[in-house]
Amino acid sequence: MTVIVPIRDGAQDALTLALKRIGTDIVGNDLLRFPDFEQIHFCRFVIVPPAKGCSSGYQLAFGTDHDGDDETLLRALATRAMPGLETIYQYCVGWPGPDSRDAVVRYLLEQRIPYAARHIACRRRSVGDLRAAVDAHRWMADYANDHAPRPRLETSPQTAATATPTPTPTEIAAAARHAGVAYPLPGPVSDTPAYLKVGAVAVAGAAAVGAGLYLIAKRSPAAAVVTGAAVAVGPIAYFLTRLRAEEKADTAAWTRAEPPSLEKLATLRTWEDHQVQNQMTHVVPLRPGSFRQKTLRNVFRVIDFLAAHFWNKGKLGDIPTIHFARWMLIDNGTRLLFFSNYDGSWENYLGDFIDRAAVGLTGVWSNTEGFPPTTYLIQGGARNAEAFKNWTRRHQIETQVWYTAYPDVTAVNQLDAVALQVEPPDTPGWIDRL
Amino acid sequence: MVFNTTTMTVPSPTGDAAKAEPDAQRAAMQEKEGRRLRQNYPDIQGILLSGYGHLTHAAYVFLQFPRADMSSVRTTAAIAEALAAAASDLTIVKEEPDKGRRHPTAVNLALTFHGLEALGLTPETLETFPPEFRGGMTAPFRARALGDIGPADPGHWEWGGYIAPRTDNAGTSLSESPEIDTARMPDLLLMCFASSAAGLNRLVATETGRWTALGAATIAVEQSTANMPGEHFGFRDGITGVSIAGGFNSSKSPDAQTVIMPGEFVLGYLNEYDAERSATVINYDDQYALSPCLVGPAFSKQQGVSGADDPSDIGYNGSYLVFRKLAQNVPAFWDYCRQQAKGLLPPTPATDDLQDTANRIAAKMVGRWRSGAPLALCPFANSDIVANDPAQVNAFGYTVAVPGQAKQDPLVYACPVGAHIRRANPRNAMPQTSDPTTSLQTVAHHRILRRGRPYGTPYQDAARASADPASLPEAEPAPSGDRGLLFFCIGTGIARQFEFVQQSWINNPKFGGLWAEPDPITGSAENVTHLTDTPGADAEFTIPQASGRVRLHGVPRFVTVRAGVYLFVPGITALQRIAAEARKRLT
Repeated sequence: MTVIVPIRDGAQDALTLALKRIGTDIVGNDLLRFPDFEQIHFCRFVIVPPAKGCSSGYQLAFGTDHDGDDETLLRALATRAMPGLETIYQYCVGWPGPDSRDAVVRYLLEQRIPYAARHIACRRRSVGDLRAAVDAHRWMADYANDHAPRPRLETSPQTAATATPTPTPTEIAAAARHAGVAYPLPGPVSDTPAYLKVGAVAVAGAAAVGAGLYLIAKRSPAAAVVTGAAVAVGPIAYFLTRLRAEEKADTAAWTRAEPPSLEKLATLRTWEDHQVQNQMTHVVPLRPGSFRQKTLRNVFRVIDFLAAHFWNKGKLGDIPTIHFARWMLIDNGTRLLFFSNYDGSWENYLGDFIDRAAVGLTGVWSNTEGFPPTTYLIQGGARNAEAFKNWTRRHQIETQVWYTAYPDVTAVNQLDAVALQVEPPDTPGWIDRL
Repeated sequence: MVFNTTTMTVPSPTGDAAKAEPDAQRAAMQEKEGRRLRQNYPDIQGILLSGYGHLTHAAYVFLQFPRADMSSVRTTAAIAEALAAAASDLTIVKEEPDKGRRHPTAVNLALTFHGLEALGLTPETLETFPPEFRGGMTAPFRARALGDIGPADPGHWEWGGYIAPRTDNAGTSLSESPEIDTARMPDLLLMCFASSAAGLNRLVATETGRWTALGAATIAVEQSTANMPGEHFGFRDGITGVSIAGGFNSSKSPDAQTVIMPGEFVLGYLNEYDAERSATVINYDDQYALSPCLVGPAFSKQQGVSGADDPSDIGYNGSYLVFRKLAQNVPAFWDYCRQQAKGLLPPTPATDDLQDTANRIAAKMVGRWRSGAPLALCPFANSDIVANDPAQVNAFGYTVAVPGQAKQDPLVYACPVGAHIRRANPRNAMPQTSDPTTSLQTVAHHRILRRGRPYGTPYQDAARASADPASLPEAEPAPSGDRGLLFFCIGTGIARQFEFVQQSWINNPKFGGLWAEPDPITGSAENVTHLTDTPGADAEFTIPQASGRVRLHGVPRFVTVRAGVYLFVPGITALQRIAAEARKRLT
């Protein structure tokens, strides 16, 4: 869920202070006791500065990744954290005040914005599921360690007979069940196979086009050929020509992506590397014109489809370190907002972007201002590594409040822990997940 | 997985598909850039392409310009004068340094950001240096990222750190704005190498004398231990070299897996990313834009001009150098291995078994046997591979092709994922990457050139230097004094190379899908409590085996940073340009 509300004129500094009081004591503060809300995976409050040369003011973005529906969470917040909401939203336009829970819930619900594309590493797993799976993992790991025979270190190549792990995977799983720590997770709900969906769309499209052509061909076969060619090639040719023209103009205007100032870098990095996970909030204006806006919306359709149907096993593209990430169009589709919750260092995260997902990210961000030059939407761009990193840092903004329900655990850890519960112990590689 | 022999033969690390001719365009680019690098040898300081292995004695002299006097025109002019003079005396890259007549000494020079500031370069010029070099190793967020917390906190450093620690001994943050110890912050590093102790003493006296005569203060003289057979824990060191296009790969056993573009280690050349970009349809003009340059009215960057022809370019043929003095706690290391060995053996083990198991644990932690033989090639027993087949000793990876299967099998049962050498260079098995070719390409973005040398008295005296360190009597008092490694490495992108390796691979408790394991040799144990908030969490080390994995607990910190700094190693012409600019600023 993402809620964006305008901040009252001149109130952004006071709000920044209020947010930082919460953000610097994220689990201990009394205003928003995040750990009490057990459906929240990640949560952030970010002050989004206005775009350069734009008359609109500062806005407050509130983002959560949570289990259950939005209204239940908002009602819980309004019931148990009204002073916290009041502390924050008193600086925002239209705040109904703390007296009516219903009004507060309505206020926040109405200012939600949709995501354009998103990624979730552990789909359909609640915070509780993930916590229990991780606890069970640790228990089983310790059990295996404590119940192994001595001497432990192999000194010669094992034969197939002796290579069976002791205790065996089945024994470990049985012990966990016996001790009551095993957590019977339901297997993932099986998706409609993606190729079926793609196939269905393709067949429907082909049928529609075919039917149209058939109707035309009944009158004039020649017209059908011309129309067919135009329908198939015309839009693509138009799109590529138009795109290339815009790209050439953008490339000519591009100089070089300067690194961020030391102050900006220190502001951002002061919040980083305090735990295993890190976050990023990034906001950048789209390149002017409706062409880029339309292109971007279509790119998002593709990415969201792929993320939901192909990259739903924990990896976004080939990146295994992102828990939740999403893009949103704000300010009437003129700016692109990005929230990410990832494991490890920023340098590693950006390196993964460049090495493993440059095509997809370039496809998105090549439609935004100052992005390193591209060819045909997806070539170049993020492959210009230093420029891409500098550009990213320059458009990254400070996240004043950021909460994670499980700061110690990576997405890879969670996927391993979940697999131990979902897969039978005799699955090859099961024990290696310990 | 079943191993048939004690010493395994591992198929080509890249797999057969990747063994195919590298794409012709890349080969042509390497050839072209390599040729340009060779042509520029006389402009490049020798240390960038050679560790001066034939010069057995080394000292690193850290100096500070006379700060209070730097406002004085005369002092600054004299310093600039001395820099210009030094430029013509520095040891440059020689063709084939290991052959022919060798010069008995070598001197190289590097400047810190404070040094460049003191020379009076304009803020606009200074801003063209990358943020990590400007901000320095001790920026609080950077110290945290590098694991310089707890006992390694810059507040405890001998020089180059803070006045007071930023973190307590458990690594918990006390302050986010520590005060820099400016009185012990170096401006200039002189790297002196000689073939004898007497020669080194003379060289250091002469070279240091030039600067102290102008009022410069000596911050530290870090002297290496000559003729040590390996590093202090008892392992053979310096085995893996990097093959650079246009370099001479003097290392006895270069890492033959990938030839790296020279721009990764010398500024002004195509780097690994540039090479990829050039292979696409786009033609960029900004490929060398990362080189720092003089900015001002006199300098207007000309389109299409770069490097030697551009009078403003001060990065060309230079690079960055990371220096860290790393103290090694030798008795703690072997005590830990012995303690853990007891836990893995039946009660009251025989002495031989104890020693053998302690040695195995140590080898698993390093990823090599003490001889240098890699576990990936000989998982169960040491072998003479280093002595007998030096070319083979680096020709390995951590995954092997499985006949009849598309996927490669990670060799987790041979070399643990968390082992030191596997973290420092994951080769063809980058964590979570199933494709060895992609892994090698990614790893190529994070290589460093190591130029470290040991310091301090060896823990074992010369008479027993070859003895098994696991056999040392536990109660034996250590020879007095500190010992460890004068680590230093070279690269054109400190953030993407040294810092990345240190933070994302070495010190990362989650490396390769692990749970709470920083590097077992050089990692910061405090990183586990600091990066994973779990109360009572300890640093672990996992040894995967076919018969069930072993997990060791409570791995302490064995290596502690004592001092460190980021430096800039200019090319000869660039150094003259910097000196000229400093002089000009005075008039």
